[in-house]
Amino acid sequence: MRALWWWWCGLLLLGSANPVAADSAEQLFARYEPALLQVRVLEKASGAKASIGTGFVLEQPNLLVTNYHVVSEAVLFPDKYQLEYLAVGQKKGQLKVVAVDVINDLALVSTDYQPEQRFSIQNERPVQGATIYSLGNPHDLGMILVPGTYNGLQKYSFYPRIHFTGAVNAGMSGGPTVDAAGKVVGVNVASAGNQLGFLVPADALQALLQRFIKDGEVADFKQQIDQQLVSSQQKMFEQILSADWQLKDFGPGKVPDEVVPFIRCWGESNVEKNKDQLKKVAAFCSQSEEIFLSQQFTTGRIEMQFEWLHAPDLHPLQFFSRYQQNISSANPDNQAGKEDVTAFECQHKVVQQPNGQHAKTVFCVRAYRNFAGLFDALYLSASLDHDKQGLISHFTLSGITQQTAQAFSRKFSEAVLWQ
Amino acid sequence: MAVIIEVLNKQHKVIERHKFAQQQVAFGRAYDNDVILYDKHVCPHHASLQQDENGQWLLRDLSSMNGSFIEPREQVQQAQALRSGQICWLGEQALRIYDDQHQVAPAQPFNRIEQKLLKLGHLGLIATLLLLVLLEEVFSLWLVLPDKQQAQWSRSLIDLPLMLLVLTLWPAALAMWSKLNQHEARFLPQLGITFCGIAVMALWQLLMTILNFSLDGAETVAWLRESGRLILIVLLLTANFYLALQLTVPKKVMLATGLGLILSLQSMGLSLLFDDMRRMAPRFDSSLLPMSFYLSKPVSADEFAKASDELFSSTSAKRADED
Repeated sequence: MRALWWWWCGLLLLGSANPVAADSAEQLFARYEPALLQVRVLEKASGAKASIGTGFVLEQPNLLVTNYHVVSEAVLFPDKYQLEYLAVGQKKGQLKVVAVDVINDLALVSTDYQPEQRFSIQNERPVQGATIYSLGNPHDLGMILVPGTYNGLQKYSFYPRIHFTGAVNAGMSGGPTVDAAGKVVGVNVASAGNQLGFLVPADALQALLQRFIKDGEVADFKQQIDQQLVSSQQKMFEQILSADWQLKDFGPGKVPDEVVPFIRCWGESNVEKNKDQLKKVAAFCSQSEEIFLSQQFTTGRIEMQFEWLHAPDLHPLQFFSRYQQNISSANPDNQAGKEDVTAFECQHKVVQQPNGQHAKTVFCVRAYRNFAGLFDALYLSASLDHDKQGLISHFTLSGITQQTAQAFSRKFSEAVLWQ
Repeated sequence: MAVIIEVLNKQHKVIERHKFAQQQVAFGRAYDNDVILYDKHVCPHHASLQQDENGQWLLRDLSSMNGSFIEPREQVQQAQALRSGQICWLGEQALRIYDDQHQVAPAQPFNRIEQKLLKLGHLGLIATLLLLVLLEEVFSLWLVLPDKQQAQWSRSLIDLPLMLLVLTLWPAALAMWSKLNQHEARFLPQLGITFCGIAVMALWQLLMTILNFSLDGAETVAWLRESGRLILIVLLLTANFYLALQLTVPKKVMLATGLGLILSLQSMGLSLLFDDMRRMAPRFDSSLLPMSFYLSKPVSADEFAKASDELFSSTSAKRADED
């Protein structure tokens, strides 16, 4: 369950806090606890909780803020799920989503709950190293406060995220992180375990609020999400496609490297090992931050893979038999169910590149059922001109338009060169 | 006029044939009879066959314990007339009586197909086919097994004789059937036919692998491969049944086609079942061979990119499909 994928680590953070901070932390918590709610997604048929998260009430306008991933089931399947809040003193009530931002994982929710003290947004970014406080209800254990450190924005991320050094755990999703003055600097969103937490910066929340004030409540969430996905994807690929791709040496050829800062690459090989006659060198690159759409459906990833296979001691037929095994299965790297996407349709042909080289090339596409004009695309190419070596290049893109997929495909296939 | 008496087994196959010129023939287990029977339900002096003044043969029961019967299972009270070719029973022992004027079926010409099929039983040919099948198996092992894994090599090689043994079970079963029914096993021809079928099937598979790569995994190749395989299976079974079964030719072909269809449909059904499980993964042709095996003209990168438009429009059209 996505809302619970935080890592639980039981370190006591309060031990090292200085007396002044501890004092203000106590006051902060006492002051703002009434404005913190537990957000519950209830399955209508059974009346049981399907997932939980945290939300907080804003001063102006009177809205509850939480993560999109906390309320996604109620947004996409309103017939099956409903939302409920639980406030201090076991007060319960209904919630209704009024706006979402799937790219920054935020949702605005209207509520009848009106606490006296509410949260306001800090428009200035904290300084690196400042102590900030994450609030939320981890594992349904009750509202807590976690002090930690503001460590700037995550370095190699396309989507801006605050790097928070402090334990953010499952169930705290959607809770606020505040500065010493109690103003919201970010919204808890994810954790990579061991004191590594990530927050959506307050300016993303501010932007969503401005848009809500301007456009009002949205009638069709699917259409709004579709637009958000398309425009975010266009921004990302504008950067990728306009970049001057740096190539790196790879076996007998050249392949793209970290073409933009948010695409990271790794590699491995078995050439030193004497065991296998088939030598493999592999490199993987990815933009691995995905956009959460529902518990079965994620999108927004980019993945590129390169493999150089060579076997000087094998007969060409032996080599090709094993070469074929290496491309026989390729899978998309995002999660999607039958209700979310169509089946893949593929074309597979031997293609002659402009430089005269030949490669067996596969291109597969599946369409998003609920979001018009968006696709997942998969590309695989295996060079054929050499008897005992081959170069496999592969990419998958998720949540992409036809035009962008084709433009990326062209740039990618031209960048992979055999020298 | 002489009389011919056939002693039949339970399946009405002839096990003894006697011819008598005399007017009376005695049957029973006692050694003083003309036809000495073995069945324990037959009396020592069970019945006799007599020719009357009109030349008609009469079966007379000699007050036997278990009685005598005439087709269709009518008990003989005292004496009963028999037609030529009629079956009668003494107790449970069946006999068929003919007079020597009885018409026999015309001679069968040599069956050319049967003669040709029988030639496949040539030992040298069988040895060659066996070698071919073995070579094909070793070749496919060689393709996938690395040289370094000696243990796996020897294990796979040890399995080969076992595989051959399993393959001989089918002709052995056919030979057994035919031995029981026609007193003629024809094991070697059946073995030859079967191995010939297997060798041709392997060759067909090889040809289709190359064709599949050459035509970029076109669906027509898959159809051609499957229908070719079906035709080969039907041909093999027809040839097997031709020698093993005593049926008319259309019936043999029908039986072979039916069995071949069941076998192919079963494998198709299995693949459909797995298909459903793997539905979410993309399906594409991954066949790779050196470029020299590619017989058609490669498309240009531009043509390939242009053709992908079709994928986008086709999947878009299926967005609303519920399945």
